[in-house]
Order: sequence, then C-alpha cells, then structure tokens
Amino acid sequence: MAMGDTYLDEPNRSFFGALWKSWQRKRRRDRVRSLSNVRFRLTREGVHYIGILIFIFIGAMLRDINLLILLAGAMIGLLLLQWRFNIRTLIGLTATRRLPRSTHVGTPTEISVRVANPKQWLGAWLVVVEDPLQKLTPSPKRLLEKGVAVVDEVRPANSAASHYQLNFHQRGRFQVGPSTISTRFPLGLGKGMRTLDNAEQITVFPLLGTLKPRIKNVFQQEMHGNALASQKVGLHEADFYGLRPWTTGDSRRWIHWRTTARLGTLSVRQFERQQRQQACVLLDLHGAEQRKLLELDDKVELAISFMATLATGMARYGSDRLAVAVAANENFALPSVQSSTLVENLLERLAVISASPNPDWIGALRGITIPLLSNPHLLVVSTRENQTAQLQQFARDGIASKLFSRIKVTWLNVMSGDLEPYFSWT
Amino acid sequence: MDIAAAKKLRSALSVHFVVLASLTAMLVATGSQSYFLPIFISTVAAVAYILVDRLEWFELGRIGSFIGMLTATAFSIGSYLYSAFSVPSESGQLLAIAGLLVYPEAVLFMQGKSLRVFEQLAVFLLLEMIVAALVNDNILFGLLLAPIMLLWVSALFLFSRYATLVQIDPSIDKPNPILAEILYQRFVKTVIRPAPKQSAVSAHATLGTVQSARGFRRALQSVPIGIGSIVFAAFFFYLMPRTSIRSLDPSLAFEPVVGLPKSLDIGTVGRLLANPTPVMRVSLRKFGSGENYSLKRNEPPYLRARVMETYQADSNGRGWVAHNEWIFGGISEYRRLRGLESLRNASNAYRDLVTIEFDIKRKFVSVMYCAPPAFAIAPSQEMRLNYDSYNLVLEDFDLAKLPRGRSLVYDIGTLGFKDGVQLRVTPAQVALPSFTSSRGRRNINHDLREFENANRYREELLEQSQVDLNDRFGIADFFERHFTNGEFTYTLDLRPPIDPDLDPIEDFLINQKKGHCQYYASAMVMLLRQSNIHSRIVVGYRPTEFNSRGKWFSVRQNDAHAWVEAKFTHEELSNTFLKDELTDAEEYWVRFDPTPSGTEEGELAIVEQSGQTLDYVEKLWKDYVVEGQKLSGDNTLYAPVAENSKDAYEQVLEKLRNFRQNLESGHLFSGQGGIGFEWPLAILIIGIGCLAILVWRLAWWLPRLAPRLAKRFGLERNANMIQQAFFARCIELLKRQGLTRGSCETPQEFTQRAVDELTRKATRNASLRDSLSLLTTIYYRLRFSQHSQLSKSETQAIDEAIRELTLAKSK
Repeated sequence: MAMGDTYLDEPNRSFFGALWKSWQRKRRRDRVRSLSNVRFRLTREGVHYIGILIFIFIGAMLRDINLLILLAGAMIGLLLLQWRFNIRTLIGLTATRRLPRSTHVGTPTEISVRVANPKQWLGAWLVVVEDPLQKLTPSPKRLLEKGVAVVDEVRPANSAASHYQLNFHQRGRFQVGPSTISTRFPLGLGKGMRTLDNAEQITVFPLLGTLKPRIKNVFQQEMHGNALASQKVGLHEADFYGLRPWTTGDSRRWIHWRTTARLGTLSVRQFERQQRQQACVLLDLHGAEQRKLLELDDKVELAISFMATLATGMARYGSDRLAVAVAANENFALPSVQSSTLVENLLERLAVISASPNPDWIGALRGITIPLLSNPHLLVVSTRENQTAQLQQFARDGIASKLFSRIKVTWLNVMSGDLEPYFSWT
Repeated sequence: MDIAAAKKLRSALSVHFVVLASLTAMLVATGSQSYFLPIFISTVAAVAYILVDRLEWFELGRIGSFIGMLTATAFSIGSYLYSAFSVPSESGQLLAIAGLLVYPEAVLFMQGKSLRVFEQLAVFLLLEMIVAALVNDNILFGLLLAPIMLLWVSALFLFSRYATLVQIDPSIDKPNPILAEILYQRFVKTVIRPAPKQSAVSAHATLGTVQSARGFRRALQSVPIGIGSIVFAAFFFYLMPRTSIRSLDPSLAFEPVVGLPKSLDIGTVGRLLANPTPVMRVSLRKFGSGENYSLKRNEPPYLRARVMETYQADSNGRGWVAHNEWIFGGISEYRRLRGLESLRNASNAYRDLVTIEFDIKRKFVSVMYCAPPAFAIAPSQEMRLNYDSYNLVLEDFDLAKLPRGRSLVYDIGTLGFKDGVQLRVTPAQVALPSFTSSRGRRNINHDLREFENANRYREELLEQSQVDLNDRFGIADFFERHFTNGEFTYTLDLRPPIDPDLDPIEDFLINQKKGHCQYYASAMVMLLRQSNIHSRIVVGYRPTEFNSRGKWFSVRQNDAHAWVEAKFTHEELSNTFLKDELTDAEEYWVRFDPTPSGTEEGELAIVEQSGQTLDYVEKLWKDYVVEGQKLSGDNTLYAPVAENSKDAYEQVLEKLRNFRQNLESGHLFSGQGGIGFEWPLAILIIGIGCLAILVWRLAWWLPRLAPRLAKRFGLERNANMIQQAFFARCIELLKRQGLTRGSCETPQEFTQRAVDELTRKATRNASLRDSLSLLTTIYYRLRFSQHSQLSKSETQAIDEAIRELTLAKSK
C-alpha cells in the first residue's frame, strides 16, 4: 500500500508525464507567439531584390541554367534568413516609454524608451521604436509625425534605452503610441514589425507668453479689493488650504498626522499664502466650432495663452489671488488659482478647450460669484465685441441681479487687438 | 550619430561595393576570357573611392550623372549591336550586356554616395552576377561565389544599418534627385507652391547611441549567415526539379568553331601545338564494371577525329605553292553506331572491352572523337552517334542541338585495347560497291608519283635498304623506322623552304628533315602511296597529361597529333609481329606513327597532370553544379529528385532496418552490421567537443582576464551582472527555489520579493529573512562603496547566511 502511494504521488516524473508537460509548454509558447502578432514586410530594397530573384529564377528554370539556380538558391536563402531573423528577434521584445504627464507648447520634451529582450540566446539589433502621435482634443486628428528612437543592440536577457525629442507646437491632449517596434536587421531586405499595447497620453499646456508692464493698469482697481481681502485673513502667515499626498522635499512639519493615521499614507497640508490682490478674469471664447476648422484660430490661441500666462505669473510671485471663469465649448470656473497645483489644473483645462459659437459666459461667471463679491472688477478677455449690454440685461432679469449689477467690466477684445498693449507671445 | 560617423558608414559601404564590383567583373571575365571589364571597373571604383568618397575632391552632379549614364548606355548598346550583327558571337553579346551593366556602375561610383546610389549599384551588381553565371562554366565561379556571398552579406548588414538611420534621420543622406524630381521641382512646384504648414508636433530622433560600422561584430555575424545561405543554396539546388525544356533553348547566335579543322594545310598542326587550351577530358573504363582501365606501357592513347587522304597540291607553273593541304576527299558513309554484336570479328580476338567517356568543352564539340573499332554502349543514349565504318570516324556534331552553356559528354565502347595497350591493327570494312567507283576510292589509291623528287628519294632509300620489295608491311615498317631513327628531328620552329620550287613535303623530306607530326605523316603517306600501299593521314589527339584523382586524360589543343594508317591484307600481316592482333577480317588498317619524339627523354609518356586537383574540383563543379549531368541519367522532370530520393530513402530504410535488427539481437556495437566504432570519428567528436568547451570557457573568462580585449570581441561583462560570488550564489540558490530575478529588478527588490514569497510558503523564516537582508546589505556595500574588503566577521556571517539558504532549499 505504501509503495502504491509512493507511485501515485509522483506521476509527473514518468516519461509520459514529462512528455505531456513538454507538449503543454510548447503549446503555451506557440500561443504566446501567435499573440505576439509579429508582421513581416518587404522593404523597398527587398522588393528590388525579389524582382531580380524572380527574373533569375524564371530564367534559370526555363533555360535550365544550373549556376542561375544556385544563385537563386543563395538569394532565397538570404531572404528566408532575413524573414526568420526578423520574426524571431521581435517575439517577446517589449518597449516601455517614460512620458511626462504634461508639457508646454514650444518646450522640447525628451521621451525615454527602454527595450527589454527576455530571450536567453538571441539578441536584438537595430530595433526602431516608432510612436505614432495623435491629437485627441481639441480638433482630433492623426499626425504624420512620429516619435522615433533607435536602439543599436539589446543583448539577450537584458535591456537598452534610447530616447527621442518631441516639440509640441499646439496645445491639447495628445496620444503617444501604441509603439511599433521594428527591425530590418540583418540584411535590410525585409522589416519585422510588432505593435505593442502601450499608448499613453500627454497634455500640452498653452504657450506661455510675456506680460507687459502695462498689465498692472488693468488690475489697478483691484488693489482696493486686495485691501478688503486682507482684513479677512487670519493672524498666521499661511492658512491650511487642503491635503495632498506627501512628496519628496515636503517638510515634516507639514504632515497632517491625523489624516496620515487614518489613511495609512503620509498626507501633508497644502497652503495658500496670504492674499494681497484679488483679480477676476473671464475668458470668453467665441468662434466657430473647432471641429469645423482645419487649423486652430490664432486669436483664440492668443486669448488662451494670455490666460495661461497670467495665471502662471500670478502664482509664481505668490502674492495675488486669481479667480478664473472660462466660457467656451465648456464652462468652468476656478475661484482661487494660486498654488502651482491649481495653476496646473487650470492649464490642463485650458489645454483642451476650444471656441464655441454660443459661449455661456454668464453661466461661467456663476462659478466666481464669491470672488466677484469681494472685488466686482471683472476683466473679460474675449474673441468678440463688447457684450456688456447683455450682462446688464441679464442683471435685470436674473436671480443674482444684485451681484451682476455691481460688476464693473473691462472688456478686452482680442480680435481688435486690445490685448497687444498687455501681452506678447514671444 | 554625427556627420563623421555617417560618413564612416558610407565609406565602409563604398569599400564593399568597390570590392564587389571588382570581384563580380572578375567572375564575368573568367567566363569570357576578357579582362578589360574587371580592370576597368576596379580602377574606376578605386579612384572614385579615394577622390569622391575619402578626399571629397569632386563628385558627379546630377547633369554629369545623366550624361555619363546616357553615354555608357549608348556605348554598350552599340557594342551589343556590333556583336549581334557584325561578328555573330553569343559570348560577345553577353559581354556587351555585361558592359551595359559595368559602365553605368562606373558612373555611379563617381557620384556622391547616397541610399539611392547604393541601391542602384546593388541592382547592377546582381544583374552582373546573372551575366557571370551565363558566361561561366569553370570552378572559379564556385570559388569566387563564397567570398562574394560573404561580402554581399556584409554589405547588406551595412546597408540595412544605413537605411535604418536614414529612415530615422533623413538629413544624413543627400540623394542626387532623379530626373522626374528635377522636372517636378522645376516646372510644377514653382507654379503650385503649397503654403508651408506647421505641424502640431515636430519629432527629433537621437542617434548618438548608434555606432557606425561595427566591423568586427559585422564580420562575425556575416560568416554564419553567408554560410547558411550557401548551404541553403546547395539544398535548393539539388532538390529543385529540372524542367529541361530543350526546345526553349535556342542559341542566341552561332559561335565560331575551333578545334581540329577539316582541312590540313602545311603548318595547321603547328599552330594547334602552340595552343594549350583544354579541349576535353577522356576517361577509359572497363566495360561493365566501370573501373578505370589503365594503360600499361605508359603510352598515350590515340584519339581519332578526322581522316584525310587527298593531297591538294596546286602548281602555279613556277613551282609548288606553300599552302597545299590535305583534305578528306571521299564520301562519308555514316550509319548509326551499332552495338557490340556488330564487331563479332574483333571480339573473337579476345580484345578488351573498354568504355571511353569524352567530356568535350562546348567550343570544341563540332568534332567527335573515337578509338576504333568502336561500338555503341548505350542504345538509349539521348544523343545519336553516327559512325563511318570505312573511315572509322564519328560524324561531326551539330552545335545547334547542344543546349547553351553545356559541354558534350558521350560514351562509346571500343575494342582497340588489349592488356592495357592500344592496338595498332584495326579490321577494315570492305568498301561499299558504290564507294568503289567513287572519288574516295580514286583518292585513296592515288599514288602521288607526280612528286618526282620524293619518288626518287624513295627509290634510293629502298635500294639502300635490305627491304624485300614484295613485303608491303616491311616497306611501311621501314619507312616508319627511317623517320624515327635519328636522321629526322622534331621541331615546331619551322624555317622557310630551302628549295622554294619543291613541294613542302618534298622539301621536308629531302632538305629540311625537321618538322612536326604533320610533316612526318604527310611524308610517310607520300612514300607509302608511291609504293602502292593504300594509306591516309589520321588527325586527332594524343594526350599525355593524366589526372590520377579523376582517372582521366586532360586533352589540350597542343596534344593534337597526326599519324598514318595503311591498309594491309590478313595475309600480309600474318607473318609479322602484329599477327596476334589480327582477327578473321580480310583487310586491316595498321597505325604508323613516324613522328620522332620531341623530347630528350625519348618516346612520349603519360605524365601526371599539373594542377590536377584543381582540374578534379572543376570537373566535379561541372558535373554536379554547372551541368548537373551526374544528377540524373536523363533530364526529365523531377528525375533528379526521384532518383536521388529513391536511393536515399532506400538507404535510410535499410540502415534503420539493420539498426533495429542489431538492437534486437543486442549487437548494436558489434562490427557486424552494427554501429562500428571509428576511432578517428570518436577523436574528431571529442576534439570538437573540447574545442567548443574551450571557446565557451574562454568567452566566460575573457571579460575577467582581459576586459579590453573582451570588449573588442563584444564580450564585455554585463553591467547588470552580479560581480560578487557570494551574492551570485545566493541568487542561484533562490533560483533553485523557483525565484528568478527579473531583468528590471534591483538586487534589493529581488531579495525583498524572495522574502515575501518564502514567507507565504513557510512559517519559520525569520532567520532566512535576516540572512537575505545581510547578504543584500553587504553586497550593496561592496558594490557601491569605497570599501571593497570583507572583514573576518563579515565573511563568517556570509558563510552562515549561505548555509542558511542552502538548508532552506534542502528543507
């Protein structure tokens, strides 16, 4: 009985068990290979090569010239080697990309690509990683440009890195990838290709320009609002604004221990500094629908760029408080844009907006009601003529009539060049 | 990649194409015997490489390139037309086609190199390879094919690298625009100029990490791929079924026929004797068994081609003109060569049955050779052999029937040998009744008495001798000995006639007494005819070079020979030393060779062929590759495959059957049909194994012993490799427990994961965790800190930890 148990306990050590396992392994491997989806395509040189090969082959067969058959055989051999080499090289090869979450228009962005070769014996040479680029919003379209990196050699069971640079000329959300890895090693007669599932997105913030000194004149009146706001600030220099996860460089004194204990991960307090100036800005993007346009409207871009520059500038110096309302293809408002995180949020939303034929700027203003109460001076950056009358009309009929009747509007029409004294792109 | 690296890559590619162009042109030249093209292209390519690619002094611009291409094409087409219509020559046309490829190559070499130029060069060179294959039939093609293949592979390596880099960064390539592009830019783009649009993104690839040429690595990679392709080509070649559609194989034009001429004027053979061109290979085998038939007396065989019995001697009144010639003036009676049963008379004499294989080079195939008395050995032989049994020669071959590029190979049987000696006596067939009254009969009986000086010389000679004038064979034998007894000497250095009024033969006989075989044969025939002995000149070859590897005679043009045949009756020969060679025939042709030896050693003897190994390899190349006649007896569709595979399968089945029987009977390693133990093979296998292990260990140790050298060989140590033995051991032990370090894992991450995994599997592993932690900490300290020395306590701790890991594994 004991011996029988021993026998039954080790069924897999038998020859057939090992054979079965080996067959299963092979099946699994074949399935992986079939899923790896490696394609082979002749290059231009390969097409020339095939043309000559066919010529030689037909001539050799029809006229029974043995030396030509030999030559054709050697050429076919090279072609087969190219095919097998390409297929074998690409099976199992992976490429990972290190892509920043966001960047600015006009800022060169370096994309790092690492190719890993899990095979034990066969290396990979001249591996080209191509990342197709696609603009998702606004005005989605597939771009002709590709990010291309070449890796000279990836040794067996090893990895190698390369990089390429992208320079975005338009704001928006872009898709990078999915990567196509290819190689034409060794002979260049064909090209093996494999597409990976590694698409990622990157947000390109609007171009930051330069605010001219005269911009202070626009916000002159808000100085009064600043004084009012300051009275409401507490005795401490900084107030607790929110919580965020701990990152490298944060002081230990900022750790919010109660929240940390509750969540189990370090959380720190986020501060906003003492307010010195309150500015309310409305971005009103009026224009044709973006999807009907082939190219972005420069004036719309100018207005968005101005908004982004203004927010970034005010946050950089950290002395002012900015309330932003945007009326475009979507409405949104950020009542207090002060920290870099909040500016980033704003830039992220500015990156993807587009003009609308009927922007609901009144609706957008609702989002900054409270700042407007503090400082009723509103700067409107618009792509159309002054619509203040419409505001007055709304003030008479609307619910918040009291508030809107107090608002003093400064209207800058980008179309007529009202922004030029205050802002330049360069 | 900077400009210098791209330039280096281009330069390496240029060198490859320069060498390829030279070698390919050399391939063409070896087939066509015209060395102008290789010299031309080698010179131009080398000059272009130095001046255009290296020094960059100049390069052909687009206009210059077009003009150069047009000129080269026009010149080549002109030479082709000249070859096609003025001098009908197939090889000339192929050479003109080769020129059509080579001259544009020269223009391409003179251009600044770009991807497009390299592509065009590659296409031209491949096409040139086709021409080389068409004009070539010698082993040099095979010998050059291997280096050319390796060079091609190496060039394609570089080309793929260059094409990849150009694909990524087109600015490194500056192509010369093609004509269509120039026209488009000149006339179309100026009219409709699209507004430049800025794209949403611009991408820039970085090629800094890409190396330029990687010479040594490329060479290492080229060799296996090149050899692989050649091996594939060999398999492909032998497994490819042949169509053999002969009807689709007309010749492009007639080729000039060379070899033995139909008429023999004075000096013809002299010209042939100065030409060492190989004509054919002749092998003698025993009929039936196929074994080599060796000649015992070391006498070169006589291979018969033509018979000439009529001497055309024209007189212009002032004397004999120098261009008198021997011709065949009779009527040929060609019938299909019959089998052995037709030679019953000869076979009764117990002569040896010998098979002679003639392997004649294409340009010499118009003349067929034999050794009488001949019989057909293969009635089903594709080629029909027609035999003139009176003149004992085969009918000339129609060159148009021979497939282009092929040589002519045929077998005949002969009864002309006995005990390793070629017999002098051949039974003569009685002439047909119609032949009796023909011009041929008159010619052969013509006594040539009008040559009075020669006749007088003969009469004086016979008077001085003791020869019985009724003994016709004795007279003939005397004349033969008269020429070989030392009074006459052999020479190819012919002098002007001493007496211009005499016929050249008379002048040779009376005054010069120096000459080559044609003079001797002519003079002897003249003396025999004047003595009423029917005789004729036979022209053929008498080869002396024997290839002992392939067992064949290598016949060259300078082996051409003329000898004499005289006819005697059975009765006249019955009392001579030739009586043993007689059969029951009534009349016989007896061979006389009056030519004295041209060497100081005496008689001509069979010698070993110089360079016989090369000739042997060339013969193998021809038989198994160029013409493939050894692949199959007949060239029907799939015949090679069917025949080869039949034998191969049968052999494999037979071996398997034997193996099974031996296995069952327990005699696998016995000598009787089992697996024989071959010491040389065993030593070879062990040697190869040791060598492989040595190379493997060398590749393992080289990075440690000589890092710089290893880096040169591409064997530098992996930067991620664990360099501390104890930690490598640790990883190995973990691997045995099913934990493998991922390529993206740091050692610390890996040990952490290992601890987690092991914790899940077992409960008691606090000590294991400590061990792994200790090993990792020490490893990190040694790897990244300045202190790389282990203290005694650390060494002990490491030993403990490793032991712990080992124990954990055993548990």
